[in-house]
Amino acid sequence: MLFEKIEFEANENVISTVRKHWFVITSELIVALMFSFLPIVVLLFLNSLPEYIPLNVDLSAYSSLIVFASAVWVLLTLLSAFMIWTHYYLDLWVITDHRIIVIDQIHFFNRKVSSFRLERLQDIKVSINGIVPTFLNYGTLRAQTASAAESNFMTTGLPDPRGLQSMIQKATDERLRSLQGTLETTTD
Amino acid sequence: MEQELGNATVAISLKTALMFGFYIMSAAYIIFTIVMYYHWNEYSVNARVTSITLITYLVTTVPLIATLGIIALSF
Repeated sequence: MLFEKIEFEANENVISTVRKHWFVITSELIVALMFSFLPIVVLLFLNSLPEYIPLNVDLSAYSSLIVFASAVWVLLTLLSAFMIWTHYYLDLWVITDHRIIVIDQIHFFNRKVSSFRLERLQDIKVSINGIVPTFLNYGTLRAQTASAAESNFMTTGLPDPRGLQSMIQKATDERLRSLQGTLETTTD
Repeated sequence: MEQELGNATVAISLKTALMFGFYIMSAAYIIFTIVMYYHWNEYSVNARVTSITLITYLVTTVPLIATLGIIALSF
C-alpha cells in the first residue's frame, strides 16, 4: 500500500487526501458505458431497417460471430473503464501537516510523484472555469513553491478548491508557527 | 515488356480467425490484469477499495473472456 511506502517524518500527520471531483470520474465512466452499448445499438438499427433497404445478409447465420465481436467490444470498453477508475483513484493529493505530496497517475506507465514542504509554499491559486464546475464546485489548484521556476504543482478537477486552498493555507501557517517556535527554543 | 501479376489470395477459415482473436484478446487481458493488479497493490491507499475493485474487475471481465473462449473453441 502507498502509505507504507511514503516515509513520513516523525510527528507528521495526514490532514487529508484529495481526489478529483466525482463528476469528473462519473462523466468519463458514462462515456465508456455508452460505448459498451454500441453493438446493441448497431444490431437494433440493422433489425429495424425498413424493407425497401434490403440487407442481403442473414444475421442469424452469423450469431456466434456477432456475439464474439460484441464480447470483444464490451471487454475492451470494460478494460478502458477500469483504467479510467484506476487513474482516478490513484491520482491524489496527500496533505500532511509538514508537506503536500502530489501523485499524478497519467497513464499506467507514467506516474509522477512530487512533494513540497509547506514552509516552501509561496503561492496557491484556484481557478473555477465553466458552468458545471461553478455549480458543482470543482476546479484547478496551482501551488507554487519557493524553489525553481518549474516547481508548480497543478491538478484539475479538484473538489471544493477554495476550501482546499484555505486548508493548505492554514496548515502552512501552523507549520511556520511551529518552526518559528522550534527556532526560538533552540536560540534560548 | 509485359509483366503479369497474379491476384494472390490468402484464405483463412473463420474458426482460425476466431481462435487468433481469442488468443490475442487473452494475451492482452492477462497483461492488463497483471498491470492493474500491480498498480492497485502498490499504490492504493485503501485495502477495501482495492479488494472491491479487483473483485468487480474479475467478476465482470472473466465471463467475457470465457464467452470468447467458448465461441472460439466451439465454432
